[in-house]
Amino acid sequence: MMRALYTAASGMMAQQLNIDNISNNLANYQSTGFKKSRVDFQDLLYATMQDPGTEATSGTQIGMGVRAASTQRQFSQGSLQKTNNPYDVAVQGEGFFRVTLPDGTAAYTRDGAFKYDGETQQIVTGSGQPIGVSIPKDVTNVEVRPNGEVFGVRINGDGQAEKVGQIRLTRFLNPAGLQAIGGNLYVETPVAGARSEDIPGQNGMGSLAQGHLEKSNINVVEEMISIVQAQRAFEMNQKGVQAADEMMRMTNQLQRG
Amino acid sequence: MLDGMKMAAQGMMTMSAKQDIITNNLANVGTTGYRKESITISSFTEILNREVGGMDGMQQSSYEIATAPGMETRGTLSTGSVTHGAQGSLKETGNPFDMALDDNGRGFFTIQSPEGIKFTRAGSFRLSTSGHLVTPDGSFVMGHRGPVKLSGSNFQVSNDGVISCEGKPVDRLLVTVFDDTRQLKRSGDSQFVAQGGVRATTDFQLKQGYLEQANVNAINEMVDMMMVMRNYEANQKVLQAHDQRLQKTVNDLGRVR
Repeated sequence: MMRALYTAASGMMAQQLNIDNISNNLANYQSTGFKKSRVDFQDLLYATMQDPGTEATSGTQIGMGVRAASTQRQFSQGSLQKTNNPYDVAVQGEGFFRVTLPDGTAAYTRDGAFKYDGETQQIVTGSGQPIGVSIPKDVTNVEVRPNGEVFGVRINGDGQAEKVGQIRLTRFLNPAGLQAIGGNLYVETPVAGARSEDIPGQNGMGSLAQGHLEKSNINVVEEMISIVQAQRAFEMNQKGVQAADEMMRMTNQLQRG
Repeated sequence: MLDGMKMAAQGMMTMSAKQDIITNNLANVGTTGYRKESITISSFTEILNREVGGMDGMQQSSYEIATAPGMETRGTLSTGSVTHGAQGSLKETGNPFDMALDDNGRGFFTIQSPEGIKFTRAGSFRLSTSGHLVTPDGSFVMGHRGPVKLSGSNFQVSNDGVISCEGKPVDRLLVTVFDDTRQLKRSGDSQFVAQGGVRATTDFQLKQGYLEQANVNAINEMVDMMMVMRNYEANQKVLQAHDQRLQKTVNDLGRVR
């Protein structure tokens, strides 16, 4: 009977973690380029009273509940939102922008809310990290083409647009293996798999859309349904605790007076 | 009289075991690829018949034992737990590393863990640091040519389980079916160990980007739980009644004035 209590408790804890995760998804509904994650559950060990396959019976195995095995991030495409800001760039496809962190290492992001840093003459992320494209100070009317080419018009030039830079994208065999470090940034891990870098539009990199931002890939209705399911599953497990408690009470009542 | 108490107690213990299993089903209502478990309950006579009947030359005597006066009813015992093979519903995730078998619940993915070959319906796979396709706990997913290794930055699995990297087929997922699913032993982590005959099959549909939900029906489990509670209570009342009678016999009937 005590087993049922702990089993149900493990179910309650698992659903609580599930709700924590869904809440984080919902909280990031408006974060540019945010990718939702989900919790994967696995059943716990089994107490084997009798091995299956012995004699004519199917054995007796009683499970000990559930645990959270891992969280998985899902890199499906978010919808694009028009902003008309020339430094807002969204990726339509699988690629990531490569960002150089202050310590010189690389990070990757889907968040294309960039700005121009006049001091370093570079295109940088919202938090000031360069993405490896520099534009001379005297260039206006910056245009980012779907294939990543950056064009601009020189102030004292002949008025013709000329190519001033190239945005490149990176993709991974298993983007779910990337490690989120906050600030919409991910760093590479060994389980992210093979990395390839190319210009947008090539080799499944996805093309760029200037003047757009990629919204999070959260579907609010889906998340709300998940939260209802998680809450009901939590309740079911709580009923399991109550039932176990009630049965123990009945056992105690066997001996009266 | 004491027999009656024993039978009631046996009933309570059986219900207690059943409650443990129901609670585990409820705790795993959100576990990918979880298989519902249920307990089988037989009458004591039936079990005695089988146990004794299993020995050579004892058929006759077991029959005689089982049908001897007073042996007709001897309460109940749980004789084992069975795994339900029905397929759970498939949920779309969009992650290429998520796979589900759509085959009425017959086949299992074959995986190689440190403890040997195991089987699972939970197709929530990922990439290992060595480039292999693995389960969340790091066991290798097996193809017909051994552990599946991925290369390049793009992989696909066709309906019939053929894995292609960069468009070139590399292997085919090894899906196993069992002669007798009652001989599957649960080993936790949503995995099973075979105790009987196994063979590879090609009779399945594989869905990439989907996961199979647990095949637990919450309504059934809640109803079962209510029945268990009431059954437990009934047995408890029987035990109490026996106790009362025994008390009367000892204290009133046998009183010496």
